[in-house]
Amino acid sequence: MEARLRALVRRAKGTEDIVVLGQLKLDRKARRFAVANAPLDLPAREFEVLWELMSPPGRTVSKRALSDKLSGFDESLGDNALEAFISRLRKKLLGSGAGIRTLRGIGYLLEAEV
Amino acid sequence: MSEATTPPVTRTAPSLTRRVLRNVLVPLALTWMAGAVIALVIANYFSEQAFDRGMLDDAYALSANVQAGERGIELLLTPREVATVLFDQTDKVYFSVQRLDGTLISGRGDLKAPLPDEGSRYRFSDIDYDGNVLRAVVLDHDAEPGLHMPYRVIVAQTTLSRAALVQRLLFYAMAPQVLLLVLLAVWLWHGIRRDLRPLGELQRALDTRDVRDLSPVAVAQTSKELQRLGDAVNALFDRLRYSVRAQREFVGNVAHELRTPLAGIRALAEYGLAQHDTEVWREQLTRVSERQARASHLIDQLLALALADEARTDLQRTPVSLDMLAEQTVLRHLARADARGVDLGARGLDDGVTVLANEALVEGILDNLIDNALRYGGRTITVELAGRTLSVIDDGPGIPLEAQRDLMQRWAQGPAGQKLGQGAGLGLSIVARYAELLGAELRLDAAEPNGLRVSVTFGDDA
Repeated sequence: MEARLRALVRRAKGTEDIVVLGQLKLDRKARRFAVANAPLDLPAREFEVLWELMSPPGRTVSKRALSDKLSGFDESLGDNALEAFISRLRKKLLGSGAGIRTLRGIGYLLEAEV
Repeated sequence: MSEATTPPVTRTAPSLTRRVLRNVLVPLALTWMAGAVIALVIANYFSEQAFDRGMLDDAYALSANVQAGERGIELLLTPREVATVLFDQTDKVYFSVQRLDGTLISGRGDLKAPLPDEGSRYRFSDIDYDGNVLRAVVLDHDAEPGLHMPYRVIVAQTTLSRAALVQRLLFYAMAPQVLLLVLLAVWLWHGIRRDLRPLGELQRALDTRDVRDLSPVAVAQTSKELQRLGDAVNALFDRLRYSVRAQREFVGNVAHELRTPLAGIRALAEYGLAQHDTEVWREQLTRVSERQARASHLIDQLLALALADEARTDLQRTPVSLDMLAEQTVLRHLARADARGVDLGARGLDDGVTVLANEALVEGILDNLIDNALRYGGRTITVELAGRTLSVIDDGPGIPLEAQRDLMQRWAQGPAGQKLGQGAGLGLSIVARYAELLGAELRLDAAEPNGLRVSVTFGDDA
């Protein structure tokens, strides 16, 4: 019973061991993404961002949060640079059943895509 | 609903008439009395002088009859002659002729009075003698040719006639003044009551008025103040009449608005009942559901308005993060915007802005504005935060200037709304009311190149 409750809480917090959206799968323990069971290799920063967007899927990640994650100590990424980054990531997710939606002026979220 | 409050118990305020009379008559009486007293003192002074002069003349008259005789100086008048010279109707007169060393030549030996100063021939004074208070004069004579030594004449008199004179002065001076004062008081009383009578009439007219009667009250134009009071009361009635009429219009519009979806529901239901096809039923029920949603939405807005009216008195203001609230609102409307193919986004939410406001009301403003924009706007809606101003901008047909104020003041549907046949202009009037409660400024502007921008600016005190 307790295990089931814990699992529920984990799912709510988006900290489940395995997170799935469409064909996109995240294995938290192994720290690995996969699309239709084929591993998806991502450079460190894209990995971080996709991790945020999957915790849990559908969570809105603000531009500021993403920008802070991606930038160096004293400079933050501009809107255009951020959008360029996201569109690169978006391309890699094509056909996975999961897409990154831009929320104009707010941020980004991951949603199921046909 | 709030409980009816009992009016506070007040002591009856003092009468205006009495207060005015008191404020006028008391200073007047005091001033007149003071004036009368001063006049009296002056009159008394001069009458004293007259009396004294008379007494001095008597002393001189006696002196004229003092001559040198066989035994030195002597008074050549018999007691009877003296009595004639010194006769007075009211007062008792005493006299004494003495040598300078005090020895008596004629008259009362024990009559003593203060002597004249160095260089003066006579002196007046008040003395006690024979059980009475007397006014006395001492007249000194130097040695003259024919009289080989100086002598002194003393005349003293009771002050009965002086006292009687003062009393008569007092009476004849004060009595008319008191009488005048009484007449003035009576005249003032009547005058004030006459001038204040319209106040009493106004009060009675208002007391007996029916609660539904909002026609102007007649006020006699006897004074500027009363005129102003009457104008203010009638202006209030004017505003009340307007407000009552606006409310009746409102209720009428609400009833009309509710009738339409309800009639539609009935028509759909009746049509569906006449059919036997489940597909038709499904379609009718779907449309019934839509109509119900519209009616329900309308009722929600009316409740919101009623709530806004109640909240007027005790609105709690807490710190509200406008950027976070805007973000949450946009996310909440995203699904509906997607369904209509409208691009809903934001701008300027990177900077945190906190104002003192009420979260429910700010949310209500944004919800209504986005809702309106979804109904009437174009393809793009943006929620913008700039400084202390929150705006909702769409690129739809916009609202012509003339219609803008109408939409906010009265609850009305513009021709665009009627054409679309959905929603109500109620949304903007709710937004206006909420803004007013928050002490924020509401503006409608045209957006570039086309569309509508509705802005709410929070004041500095927020």
